[in-house]
Amino acid sequence: MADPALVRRLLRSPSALAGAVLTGVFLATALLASWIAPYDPVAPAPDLVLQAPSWGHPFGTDELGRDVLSRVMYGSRISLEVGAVAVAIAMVAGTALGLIAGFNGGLWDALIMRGTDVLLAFPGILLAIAVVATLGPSLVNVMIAVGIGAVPVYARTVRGSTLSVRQMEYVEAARAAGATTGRLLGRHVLRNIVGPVVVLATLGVGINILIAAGLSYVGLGAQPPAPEWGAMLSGARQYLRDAWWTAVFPGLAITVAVVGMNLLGDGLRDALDPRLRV
Amino acid sequence: MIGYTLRRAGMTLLVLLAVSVLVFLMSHLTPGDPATIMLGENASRADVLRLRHELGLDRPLPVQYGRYLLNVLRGDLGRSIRSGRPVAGEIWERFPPTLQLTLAATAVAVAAGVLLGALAATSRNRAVEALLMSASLMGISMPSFWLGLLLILLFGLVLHWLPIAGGSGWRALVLPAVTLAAQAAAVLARLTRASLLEVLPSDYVRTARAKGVASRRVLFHHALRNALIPVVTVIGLQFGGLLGGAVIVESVFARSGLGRFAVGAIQARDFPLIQGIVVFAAAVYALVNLSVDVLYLALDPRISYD
Amino acid sequence: MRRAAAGVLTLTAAAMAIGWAVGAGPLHAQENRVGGTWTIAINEEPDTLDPQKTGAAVAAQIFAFVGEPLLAKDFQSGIVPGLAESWTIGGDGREWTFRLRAGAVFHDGTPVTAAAVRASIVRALAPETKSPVAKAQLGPVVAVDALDDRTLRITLKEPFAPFMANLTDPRLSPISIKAAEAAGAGFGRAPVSEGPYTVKEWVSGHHITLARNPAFAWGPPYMHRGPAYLDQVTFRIIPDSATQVAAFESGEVSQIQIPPHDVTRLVDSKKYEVFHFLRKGVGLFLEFNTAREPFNDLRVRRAMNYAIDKDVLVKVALEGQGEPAYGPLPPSIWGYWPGIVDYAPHYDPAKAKRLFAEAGYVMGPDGLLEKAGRQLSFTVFMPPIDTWTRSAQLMQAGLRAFGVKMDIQTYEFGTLLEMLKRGEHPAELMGYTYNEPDILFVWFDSVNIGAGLNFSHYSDATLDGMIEAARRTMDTRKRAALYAGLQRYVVDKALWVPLWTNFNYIALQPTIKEARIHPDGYVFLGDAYLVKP
Repeated sequence: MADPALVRRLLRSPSALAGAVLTGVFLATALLASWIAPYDPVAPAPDLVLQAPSWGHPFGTDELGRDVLSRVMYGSRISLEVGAVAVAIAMVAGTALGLIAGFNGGLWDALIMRGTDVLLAFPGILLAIAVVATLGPSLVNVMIAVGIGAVPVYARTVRGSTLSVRQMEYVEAARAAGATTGRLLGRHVLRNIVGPVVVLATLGVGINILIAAGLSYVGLGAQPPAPEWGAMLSGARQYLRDAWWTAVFPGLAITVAVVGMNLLGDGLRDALDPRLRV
Repeated sequence: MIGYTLRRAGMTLLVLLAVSVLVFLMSHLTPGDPATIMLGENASRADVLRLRHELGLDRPLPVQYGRYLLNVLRGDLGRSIRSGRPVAGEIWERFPPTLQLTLAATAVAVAAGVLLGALAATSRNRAVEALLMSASLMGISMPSFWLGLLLILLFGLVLHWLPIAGGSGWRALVLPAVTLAAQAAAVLARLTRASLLEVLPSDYVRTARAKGVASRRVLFHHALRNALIPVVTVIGLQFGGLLGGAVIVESVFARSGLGRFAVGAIQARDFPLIQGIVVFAAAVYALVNLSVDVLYLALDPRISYD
Repeated sequence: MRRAAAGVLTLTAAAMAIGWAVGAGPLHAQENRVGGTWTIAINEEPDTLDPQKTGAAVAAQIFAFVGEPLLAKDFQSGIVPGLAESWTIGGDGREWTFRLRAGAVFHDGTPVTAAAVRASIVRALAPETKSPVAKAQLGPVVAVDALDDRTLRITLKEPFAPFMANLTDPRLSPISIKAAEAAGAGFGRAPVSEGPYTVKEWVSGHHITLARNPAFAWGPPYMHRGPAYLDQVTFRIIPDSATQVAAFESGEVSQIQIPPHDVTRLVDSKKYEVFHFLRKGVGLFLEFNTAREPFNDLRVRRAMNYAIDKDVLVKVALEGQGEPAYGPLPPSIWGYWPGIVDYAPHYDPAKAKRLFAEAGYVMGPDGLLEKAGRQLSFTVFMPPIDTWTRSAQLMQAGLRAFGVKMDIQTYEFGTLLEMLKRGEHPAELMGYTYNEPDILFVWFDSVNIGAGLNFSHYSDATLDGMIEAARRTMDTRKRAALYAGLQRYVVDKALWVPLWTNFNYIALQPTIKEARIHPDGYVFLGDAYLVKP
């Protein structure tokens, strides 16, 4: 899979490269937050309330005197966790369902496809809302909700790949020669689906971050004092007039992270199969 | 075509049925007995049992579902725990502002998306194309609530051009509609551009050009019309996103509507209300998609479905 | 002769014309008072406007315009006639006889007779009504009798000191039973009472509009005789405080309660009339569930009282617009004991550490206090109110320094109340607004555990006894002494950590005249009228 031609194609595209860099910065910040953040993200500082950006506080301070830059850095950790867990849930469940549907066909296929239709009948946020309503507002439930919503797209993609692989001649031949299902799955199918799934996952983390931040913005996700980007924007609304920095920087962080993942995902998709280019 | 329409309609109904099952199960998946929740902890045992019987909670689950489904089909979505008023009525009262916002956003998204996509596809200037594609990238990457806050900051607080309160009239609709439309417009712009790029070099366009038809006419009459076909389908899908996005945008701009109402219902764990809203939204979404699919077929009879 | 007559006629006509033009001046000005709409912004929609079925404070705020209670409170907090023009108290404070005014009618035209008022009170007391507030305010009623058309007698089981003040609450305004029976469940959307305004329209989630009642002529003595001047009073439902401020500044809304952050700006602009008063109630307190770990231990509760710095909360969360609270009553409610400030604990880190140690807690390896292997950590339940969330985060950081871990969990208010009644919480953040010291009964009497608002789940015969005694003592001085004792007792048992009481800032558009702040903490608009800006 780590085909040198693939990597070369990836590196040749400036936008994909930019995406990789931005994603890298996002990941690095998330992983290294506790070392590189200049201040404690949750400790209030009563004398530093709502200060404009300065050398000491490049992103300014919020309504409890906390450094916005540090909070944004720690927030990347939360966003990465939410995005990644949601993608993991969707990937595992969706891939399993897609494999079963594609491999077995018939009733299984019909059932699973209709199941994904039902999930797709809910507009994205609404499904997340329904799940959060059932389970209760918290960040963990948001991850589950968003993950469930992303299952259909994985299931369908994997099913498609599985179907096309099944029909390939050499697979038929291998089957005739007595190869077990497991080996068929492992050798051929999985190798073929890795590409599309990786693309989906990369793009998916971006989308999931947006939905999760949206849910936190309306109060259905992260609880105070968590420095979650969406929750930070929610608190910033009333200070828009004289503390614009509390609103601008968290939103900028979300945008940069999502742009990075979108560019990288697009780049991966183009590199994997230039025919799919949009 | 009739056959296709009927089959799609049938599918939609089946899906909605499954949706109703899921939604019905929602309240049964949470801990706590619904009757006790409604009456409060200190209700007498007799009262709780009586309410359970009234609500049919002592019947087996499939029977309860049957009653629920029948009620839904009759338009009875139960009563809100908080206000005691019929859920259907509450939803119907609050739907118009959300519909207004969603329609306005759809109009903005289609107009802006198609126009910008066409511009990007036909422009010889690489800078323009790059700029438009970057804008499109921002559109799908920016959180709507952030865009909303920025617009409020710029147009409301700095320039004082537009109202920031949840007022009435078209001026109060501008910022929320633009905010909601941004992501959909970005997606539509990309799609229009891609679609046009496929169609422009095609045979019949070249024929038209060769016949001497003016360049712009070529674009509008032939290319665009054909390129718009996949765009139309996506509009249907985006509509769902717009409905969901209305939840966030209504909060940002403090507009009263179904979206904000849904958030309040969740926080209050008012299950009849939440279930009613979800069923309603799913039904609207399914209806829109069905219409779009049929429209799609009408627009391009070359496409056949099995 | 005829020419003289004609001349006289002309002169008379001229004199009349001049007289009319001059004399009509002030008359015109008087009539110009009538008219206009006043729009008040409110944070949330009432659950219902049926005064006997509502539990929401905002419903009382709105019903103050719709109903006229038996008694009223004037601007010196004295009790004055309302619907009742006079009253006598007999039978050791157990028999209350009211003489109703003549000529009062409900909004539906039915006359306000003693029988009609009786029917209204009976409804409030009936178990089917399930009244959360109105019934409790009436207290230990055993009989309600209409002695004649205009005389009503209410007999109580025992003297009930808060009775008179409670009768001035808008939620005890008589309602038309005829209309209530006719409307059934819909009565809560369009209640019929006998006040200066009728409920004209309620658009869910958007606004409630009241229209002037032209027949109204029985207001309290401090109000002018006759109907109100404003045509309409509209309550605009705007949950978001930033939007309220924007709507006020754009002129869409006429009256708001200003969020702390915008107070300075609006006051300095000098464009608006701004009133402020100390809230009638403790704005925020931390309440312990004494039935659960770790706050079943008095020593831990007392230690917490020394471990929290209230001045920081006022400075940062309230932006200075308030004062620290030390007991269960604020200075703005009668019965407040000023000595509580010195009697109660103040922030004292050394003492707090000592008390935690005395309770058996030692500092563990990760900086948290622990005892018998369990850390001192708890979750505080609270609604998502801005100033409260900020206070909670400040407290969280402060407590962490002592080795106490506090987690924050927000819940919607209705859900929260149900959980608190069931005692699911270790501690919660709460605040209240009330006019009388009888609020202590609401919070601390053991009869209110489970069904009522006793969220500390504390049951103590001594405390109950003190509360009952205060309720039964009609003598004001003795009553005040009893309440002083109650405040000391509550502080001794450390059931709360009282945190702060805020100043309420109300901003009005400059077009209103004769709007006055009533000592019960609201804007009285009975005599208010609009002028051109």
